[in-house]
Formats: sequence, C-alpha cells, structure tokens
Amino acid sequence: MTVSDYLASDEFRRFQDETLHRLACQAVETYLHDHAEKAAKTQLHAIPAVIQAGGLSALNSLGVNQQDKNTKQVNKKFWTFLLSLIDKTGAAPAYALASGVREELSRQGLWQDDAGITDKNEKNRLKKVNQHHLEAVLEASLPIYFEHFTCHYFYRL
Amino acid sequence: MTLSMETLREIDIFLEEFYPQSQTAGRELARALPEKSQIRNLETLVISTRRFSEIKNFIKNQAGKEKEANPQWRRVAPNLLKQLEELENQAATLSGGDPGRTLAIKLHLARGWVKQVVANYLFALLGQN
Repeated sequence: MTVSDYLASDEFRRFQDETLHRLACQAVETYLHDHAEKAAKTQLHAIPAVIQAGGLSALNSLGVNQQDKNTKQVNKKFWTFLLSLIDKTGAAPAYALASGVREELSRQGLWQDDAGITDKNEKNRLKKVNQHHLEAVLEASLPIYFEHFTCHYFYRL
Repeated sequence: MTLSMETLREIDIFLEEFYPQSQTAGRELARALPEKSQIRNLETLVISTRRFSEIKNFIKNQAGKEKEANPQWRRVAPNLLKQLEELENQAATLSGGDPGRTLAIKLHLARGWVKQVVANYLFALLGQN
C-alpha cells in the first residue's frame, strides 16, 4: 500500500475516528493530571485556524511563539506540553500525535526499521521514505487530533 | 459502504433493546435544554456527519463552552457520551473488525439513536409545557 492509498482508506478514517480520539483524550488527561494550574480555554482558540492556514509548521511556530512571549508560567508550560505532542524526533510520549502516527505507519507497513541495514545509501533512502510517510500522515491527521484535543480540554476543564 | 440486510437487522434489534436508554437521554435533555434549536443542531450533525467522533466532540464542545453558573449540556453530556460509547462498542462487535464496516455501523447506530432521543425529547417537552 502506498501512503496515498492509506490516506484514502477506511483504515485511515478509523485511525482518525478512534485512535486519534483516544490519544488526544489521553494527552488532555495527562496534562490535567500533571499540572496543578491549568491554562485557560482561551489559549486554545487559535489552534484550529492556525492549523487550517498553515498546518504543522504554523502550529509549531504558534507554539514556539506562545512559549517564548507568554509571561505566565502556566501558559508557557501549556505550550511546552503542546509542542511535545507534535515533536517528530521520536522522543514524544505515546499519546503524542507523532508517536501515534509512527505506530500506525508501522502497523500499515509504511514505516520500515533501518536498524539492520548497513549500506549507507540504502539507510538514507529508507530514512527519507519514512520521513515522507510521517510528514504526509501527520499533516492529514493534525486537524482531527487537535479537534479531539480541544473539545476534550474544553469539556474536562 | 452498503451494509447487509443481516447487519441492518442486528442494528435494528440492538436499537430496540437500547430504546429505554435513549428515552432516558431524551427526558434528561428536555429537563436540561428546553431550547429545541440546540437539539435540532445535534440531530442535524448526527445525520450529516461522516465521522462518529464529531458527535462526541460536538457534545463536549457544547458542554465546555457553557458558563459554570448555567450548566445545561454539562448536565446531560456524561450520559450522552456514555451511550455513544456503548454504540461504538456494539459497532465493533457487529463489524467483525473490518474498518469500513465499523465506521458505517457506528453512523447507522448513531442515526437510529438520535431519532429515538429526539422523539423522546420532544415528547417530554410536551409534558413539561
């Protein structure tokens, strides 16, 4: 299956509907549990529009900007947490969007482990392919994951 | 995806058995939300959406944006979300794990459910007025 086939499949629709919902709710619950002081709902208001306008890079810029400019510690911590959800480096927690997407790609055979490959060119090629798949599915999943996240946050706060 | 007659029959049987719960939800909604337009919005969303989780998100969003002093959706949201979860579990059982069938069955169940809830909501409103 190609990544385009996957994005057009029922598997992907179910991933958006169920897996992303579960992960986003888990992310909210973790944030609420780990932070005595919670960020106000207003902090989330810009997220859907920013995602719609510029996708992952725009959300990342918003997060970095909010993290740096906010004078309130509670908001800084919120944006640090939010940035961890879109961290693509592999260090993100299990409930983060990037982690969920990576796991789903593995399940679909669209993420290949390059650990056993010794040929440098082949290793680089695989990395590029994996990265391409990750970016494509991340971008497509981003609006739904954060729809789940913001609605659950609104509800639980 | 077109569901088989056998699956549609199983959905109907489940919804028949689920009716008392839908009735409770309709009555709770009538007590909490006498404004019909909000329930019509829910009904329209359930009928038109292609994604089941959008229904859950709608309810959470409605509850989340209310002022604490005047909770309406907040009073009914936990039970509505619990019922939707039961529909989702039933869809997983009926679909045999096929993703397309799961999604189709969930939406079919949700549409049957909302008809029951809205009918009981309107009927309960009659009794209140």
